[in-house]
Amino acid sequence: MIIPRKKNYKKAFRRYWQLYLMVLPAIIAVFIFHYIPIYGVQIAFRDYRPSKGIWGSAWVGLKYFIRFVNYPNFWRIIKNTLSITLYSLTTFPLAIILALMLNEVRNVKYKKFVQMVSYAPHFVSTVVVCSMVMLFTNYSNGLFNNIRAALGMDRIDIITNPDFFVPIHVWSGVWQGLGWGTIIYIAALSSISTEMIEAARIDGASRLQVIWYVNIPCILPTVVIMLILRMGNLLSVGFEKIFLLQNSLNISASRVISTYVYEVGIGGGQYSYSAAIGLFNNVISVIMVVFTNMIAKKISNVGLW
Amino acid sequence: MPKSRTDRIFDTINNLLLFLLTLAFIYPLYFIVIASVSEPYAVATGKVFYLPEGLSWDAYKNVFENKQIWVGYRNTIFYTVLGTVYNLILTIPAAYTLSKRKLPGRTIIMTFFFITMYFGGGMIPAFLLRKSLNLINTPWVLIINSGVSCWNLIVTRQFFENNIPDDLYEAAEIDGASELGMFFRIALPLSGSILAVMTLFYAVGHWNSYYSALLYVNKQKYYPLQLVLRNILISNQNTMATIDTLSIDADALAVAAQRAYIAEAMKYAVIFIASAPLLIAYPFVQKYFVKGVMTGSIKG
Amino acid sequence: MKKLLSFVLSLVMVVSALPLTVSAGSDYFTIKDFYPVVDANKEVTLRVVVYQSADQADASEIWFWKWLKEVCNINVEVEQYSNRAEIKNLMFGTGELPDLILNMAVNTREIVNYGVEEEMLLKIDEYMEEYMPNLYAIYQKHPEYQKNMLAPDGHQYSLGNLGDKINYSKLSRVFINQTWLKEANLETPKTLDEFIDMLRVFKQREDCEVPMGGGFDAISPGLAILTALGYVTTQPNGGSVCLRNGKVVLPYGDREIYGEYLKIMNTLYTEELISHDYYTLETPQVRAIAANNATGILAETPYLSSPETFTNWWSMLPLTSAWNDTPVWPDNAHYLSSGIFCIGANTEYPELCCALGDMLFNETGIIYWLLGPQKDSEDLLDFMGGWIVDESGNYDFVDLHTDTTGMYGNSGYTYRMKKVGALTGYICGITGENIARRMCEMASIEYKGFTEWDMTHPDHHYQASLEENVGPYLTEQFPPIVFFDMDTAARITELNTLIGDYWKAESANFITGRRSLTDEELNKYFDQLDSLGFQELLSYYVDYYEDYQATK
Repeated sequence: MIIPRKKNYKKAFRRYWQLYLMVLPAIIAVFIFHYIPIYGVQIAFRDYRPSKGIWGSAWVGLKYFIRFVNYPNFWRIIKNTLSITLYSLTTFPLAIILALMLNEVRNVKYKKFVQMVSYAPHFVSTVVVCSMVMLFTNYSNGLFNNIRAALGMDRIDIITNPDFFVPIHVWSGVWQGLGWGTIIYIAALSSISTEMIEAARIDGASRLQVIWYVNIPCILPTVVIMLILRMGNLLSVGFEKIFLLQNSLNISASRVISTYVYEVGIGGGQYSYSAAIGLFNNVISVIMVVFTNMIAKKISNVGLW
Repeated sequence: MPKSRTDRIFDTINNLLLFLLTLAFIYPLYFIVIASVSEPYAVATGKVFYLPEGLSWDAYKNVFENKQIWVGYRNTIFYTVLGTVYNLILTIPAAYTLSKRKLPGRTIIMTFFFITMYFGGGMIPAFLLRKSLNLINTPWVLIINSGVSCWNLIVTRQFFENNIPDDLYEAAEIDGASELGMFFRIALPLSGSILAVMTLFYAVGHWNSYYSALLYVNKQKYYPLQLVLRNILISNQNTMATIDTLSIDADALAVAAQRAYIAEAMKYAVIFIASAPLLIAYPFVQKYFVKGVMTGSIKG
Repeated sequence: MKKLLSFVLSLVMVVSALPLTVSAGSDYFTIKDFYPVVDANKEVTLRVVVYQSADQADASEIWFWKWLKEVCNINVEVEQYSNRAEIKNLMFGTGELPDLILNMAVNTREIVNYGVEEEMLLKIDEYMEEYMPNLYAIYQKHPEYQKNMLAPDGHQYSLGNLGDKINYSKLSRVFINQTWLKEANLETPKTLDEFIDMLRVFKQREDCEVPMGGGFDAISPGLAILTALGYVTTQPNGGSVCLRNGKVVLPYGDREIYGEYLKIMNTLYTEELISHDYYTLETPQVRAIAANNATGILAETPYLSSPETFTNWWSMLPLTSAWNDTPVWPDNAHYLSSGIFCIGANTEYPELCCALGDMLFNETGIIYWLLGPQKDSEDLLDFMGGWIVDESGNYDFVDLHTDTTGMYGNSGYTYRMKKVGALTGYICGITGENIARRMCEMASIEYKGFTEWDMTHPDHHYQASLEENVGPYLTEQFPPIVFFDMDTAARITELNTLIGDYWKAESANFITGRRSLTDEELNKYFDQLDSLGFQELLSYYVDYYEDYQATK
């Protein structure tokens, strides 16, 4: 006879009270700092007037969402945003590959050196990264064009070409974040039992085979989680970097959601409108995450829930 | 295990590829170093490639002349240390709890945290809350600001789930260990690497932050380093815009013009000033990864 | 009985509306000389938000706030911010306004939104007659000064400069390399054709990196061409509303003439008379080229890039062309600003705040705000050394000569920021000669006045060139301070995000030759602008100007 397992919370509490206690501080902190202010979400549904406060401002429902969707450049800024994030998504495996490569290095000093060098770009500010991009892609005396000229090729316009905007944005981001992104994978790799690896080697596996059959499966859960979380950033492209890289000639590719929000939000003081756009973004992000999570669970049984 | 021939080929290719990659990383970093001590106009016109042009330490001098820098360093160290400890105390036990699949209510708690990743009240309610808690303009607002990063929480939880097999817990339970006991005696000792990673992530997060300070702190004595540097940089760039030129003497004008000129090189110098302590401290943290490896290998 | 009652009531109303006295203060403060002093038995605290510039020290180290406490009996809680945009957003968004908002560049949109609509800013004009005698007197004499500051509802919500004195350092400027000019045996060009020919001659020089220096976002020299076509504008890329032959236009949508502008710029681009990197150049690069004496045109104050060779540069003459026979130059030479001094509407002490603002319009008052008291004054509070002045009105600070720490860098400006004043310069209140004269009066020196430019002084040198060459041609421009109501302002912002992107991208494409400059293509361009709402955008400015002219 199968005894149905009822969710008896009183019993659970008695048994697991220590676990609940351990998660309590985090719950309290998050409740205070995130849930208490969360009433502010409704700014997106009201015509916010500071003098009336959030609760006192008129309810306008979906007015600002509709306005956003009807914005003539709506599809263009979504397309530009997605171009950047989807292109960036294709560089997702690079951090994993680099972590795997680093993990294989025998010489500890060399390994540490490469790691340190790869982490350093993370600390370089966006402003400097963009300055360097501008300097290196300069038509008359930039590094790339100088090399081209030395090889006998024509100088080309790089940063003023809208078609190059997405790659430049993404690859400069890769330079900045690749090394830092390996940290979590290296930590995961360091937890793989050496016995497993030795066993595989004894069975005659080559280095590549060990990576493929041992390393990768062991860090797969981490990879899946990172991918799911990454999908939540599909509409997030920061405005600071765009402002630094854009010019009149690449505007068609460089206007994204966040630059528009900045112009109407901080620039135009339209709290409700910018809140609505932000909420719109977030809803889509959540949908993406939940959707990806579903697929991930089906395929690999790893997920957020 | 003796190295086979394929092994050696693999190593050679691996090391070679890594070397090329390192060059790609290193050149821009090197460029930042030489740009920070070069003559700003040479940098701006692309004349700086391998060596500094017109060596000058003015950019650094300019930044360090500002006594605020030391206040900034002191504050940031304070915020980072206390803030990271606070974050870890909140995050690690919570992640451990959430890693127990059998725990009733796990999904609810997970969703509770997850929602905060994407939905928030915005800048205004956040400010009002901190004001009502009397946190504005105190050092505490920057320490308890972030609390728990849901992202870090998920990653840590994943680590606990993945790397510590259930049979270890089952064995300990039979021996009569409590949940807390298992956490301290089984999970923590085996989590060296994730603890190191989370410490790193939270610490660097605190170190690099300035936006919260911008909004919640207006007393200079509480400014973190990044805010001080950012102010110095921006205001140097804008020097000419804020001066009323008619009532000023030629010397002051020269000072102002010099400031705007140096601002270019200062951009690069600031990177070092801001991150040097971290880059120096990093190798000491790095050994915990190695430790993690040793404690991470599990018998059975 | 009813009639008597209503008579008495109206009498009472009339009497209570009369000003009681001419600014003797209020029930909690009195005016002593030129500053308010809170009564000894009262506790007044003002919350102040003020912009903090580069060198500005913490408020606790600045004389002005100390003086307010010690001498005026006003406690101040000063909050200094260097990031105006976000802080204003937060401040207005939460409705938590301080008593005084100083130097935060409150723009006209914010004045309309938060002053007129939300009523969060004090209507300063309501307190002016009673509590601001200095400013009131100035406005009585010159009502046109106040006109600039009035919001659409007829109230004044902020203080700024009056727009009275001419200050050549505020003019738009384009300078020509005089050495190159002389070596080419040329005169300063008077027509557009002469100007372009001059550039061609410059190009022949071996040391020439680019004849016309500057870029779209970096010290743009475009004003030379735009004024030649008759646009009285200060925005060198043609992106702002301006006047042409008295008509309101947005240059980038001007069907008549903008095509010609594009053709001229395209010529300059293809002949490499402007940089190939025109659209990616950044300010340091432009300055570097100027500093190396490798360019013939510079659209910025010369000593900023070349402190040693500033004498090499002299202003251009406004040009005439086939489309414009009167040389014009935008007249933005007057100190005029708005939004520098605002008062929160919920303040408990509106009268006191207004009195403090009035100090800025009193000759001695503004000296105290910005420069502090003179040497040996009691008001120094033993905190600093004070200033001294010579007969030309040049002042100096005593402490600069006794300071051993070098923290002021021997700069009077730095000293003011670190020790003395609350504001970063003459951005609010009265300006100019009155102050110099007053300083001499205070020091009992005979003021000789400003006689002539000192050509060895980098700042005087370029202003002298502006006075000589463009001074005679200054033409009235579109009003610089513009108030739109909330909905119109929102609509304009929206239209600008659409239209702004389009005209910038297409103009760049035309100028660099990526899009051909045929009449057909130009018509397509203008038609597309119309379909994006250009005419609507223009109409807002046309209507505004009509109203402005009508009430002159």
